[in-house]
Amino acid sequence: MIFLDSLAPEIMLEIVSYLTSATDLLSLGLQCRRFYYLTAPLLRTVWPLHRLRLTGDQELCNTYQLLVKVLRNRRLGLFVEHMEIDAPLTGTTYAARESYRMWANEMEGEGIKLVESAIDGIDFTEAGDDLEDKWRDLLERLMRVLLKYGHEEFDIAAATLFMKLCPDIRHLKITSRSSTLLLPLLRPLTSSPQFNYLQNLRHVDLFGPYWFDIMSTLGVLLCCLSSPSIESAHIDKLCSRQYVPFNPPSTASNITKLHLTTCHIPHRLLIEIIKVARALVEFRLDTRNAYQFPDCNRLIYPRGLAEALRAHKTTLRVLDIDADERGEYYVEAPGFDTAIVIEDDCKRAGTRVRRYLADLSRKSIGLLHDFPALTHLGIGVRFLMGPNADEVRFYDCDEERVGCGGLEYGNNSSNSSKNKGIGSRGTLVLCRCRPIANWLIDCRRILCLCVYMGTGMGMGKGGRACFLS
Amino acid sequence: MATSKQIKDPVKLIPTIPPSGEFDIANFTFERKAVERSILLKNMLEDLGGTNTEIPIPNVKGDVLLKVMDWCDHHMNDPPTTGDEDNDSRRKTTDIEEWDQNFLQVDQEMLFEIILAANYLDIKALLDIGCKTVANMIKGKSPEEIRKTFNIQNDFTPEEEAQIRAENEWAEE
Repeated sequence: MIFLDSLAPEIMLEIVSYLTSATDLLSLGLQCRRFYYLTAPLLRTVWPLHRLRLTGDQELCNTYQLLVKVLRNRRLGLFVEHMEIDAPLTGTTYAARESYRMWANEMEGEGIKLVESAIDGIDFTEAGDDLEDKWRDLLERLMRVLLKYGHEEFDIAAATLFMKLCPDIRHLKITSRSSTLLLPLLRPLTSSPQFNYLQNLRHVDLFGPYWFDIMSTLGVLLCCLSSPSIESAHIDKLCSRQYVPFNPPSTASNITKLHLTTCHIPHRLLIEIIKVARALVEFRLDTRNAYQFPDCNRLIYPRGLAEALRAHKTTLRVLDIDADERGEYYVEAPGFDTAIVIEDDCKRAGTRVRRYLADLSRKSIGLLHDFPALTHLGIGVRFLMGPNADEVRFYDCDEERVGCGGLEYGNNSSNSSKNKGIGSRGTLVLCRCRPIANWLIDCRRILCLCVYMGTGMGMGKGGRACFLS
Repeated sequence: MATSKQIKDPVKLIPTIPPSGEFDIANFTFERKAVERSILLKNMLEDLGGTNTEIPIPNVKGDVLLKVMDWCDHHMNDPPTTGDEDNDSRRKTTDIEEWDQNFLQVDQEMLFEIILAANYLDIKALLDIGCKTVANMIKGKSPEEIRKTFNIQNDFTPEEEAQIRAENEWAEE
């Protein structure tokens, strides 16, 4: 009987040479000593390339050297699985232009155009162990870009090149300071059939530009939703004053994890985005930092949201909605631009409890029973969730003065948690959470619970309490 | 099977370990072109000259030899490998063409036997697809799944394993 671990070393090395993912190499190395000695040297080669970061702090020559290195030995490009671009691309050359126009037509800068024309027709997958003429030509052009247009264009060109040289990038992260100019690079994901890079992308982390620019962030989100390979998308700063026409992809999206932070978009748009996904496993929404976007729509309509989420109820395991900062919601289904808002209850401490009880059903996103797969729950204290509407209620409890989220546990036990001592704020939060957690442990489903407390609830700018069981 | 076809230029390969079941030497007559896919046998045939067309094959079981020659038969008209592409910078794809994929849908024992035979007989293309197949079996699996798939004995102490994991934390997804 022949086993894998009895094969000759030269055959094992041949097998190992087909593994380019660090995770696979490590998994094999963990089998036995012999395999570890075979894979360890390769892991050391992979290590510096596994996570490629292009940052502003990086010296220009480092980026250039790295490019030359990968061009010389294109196999190295296969090792790159994570790519993070965090270079200060402020867009001085584009500042005058409207960002959506950039997205729509004039998106490429001179640097990209120059490089694009140079790499047009080059097969990045073919072999080559020395720098052939075409690569020399490419690098020459890159240098010209640098001299003529400066650091910024060079960085954009380099980022473009790396995306093409590293076909196995799975995780792409673009930070706020780079995103303005780099977002257009992702556009071809949907628009161009001959688009031949970033084909293996699985996860996208995108931090939108400092100013809100719905067209480009929404554009990338659309790319993520229409790509068959992308599994998770985290989009930060999806902000818009008004509803923007949304053309969803024709087929249901394969995306399973949707994470929208600093998301301030009209209700209708949010619902349409949720509806595109076929089966969401994880949904996180965060409407914090609304003060940065005073003009944007920061209110959500819990019942409408719940309705959209119920389409994913059989698969949804992680639900995390942090929309409590302002304590304002729509209470009726919103129109396009109208906002019927409950007054900020925090200002009316005296009548709070009564009002909350009255508004519970309207402010709830529904019952936990509706989500049988749920194991991780993060929810604001003002969002009601319980096995049934009477059993667990979160509300503000003004007798405590600090106004922290209180809890009414069942119909009979009236606020037993209120009598517990109040230490520092931290312990206070935990003390409030314990009955919730106890109840959730009884549910035997929720593994992780996070309770958010909004502003004006004694927690300064908004705090979080976590409870793990 | 090779015998069902008209063989223009026959070469007999005689396995020293005969296949299970009835052994018919007629089954081991192959087209010279197919046999020459193996660099070892090609060199041997050249050394022997045109006269002797019977080659004993030690080290390869009869069953495995038949399977390997099946592959050679199918690929006998492929352009010969030059050996030049054997450098590290060539793109290592793990794409395998459909016929080969079906051909290698065998149990693990047979797969390893084919790889060993391809290595011994020096059939680069077959060795490549064999290794690719094994690599594909490893890809995307957790350490536990790999251990289960290939039945590998763990000889690490728990401390050693923890240390390797800690050192290579960056590589875990």
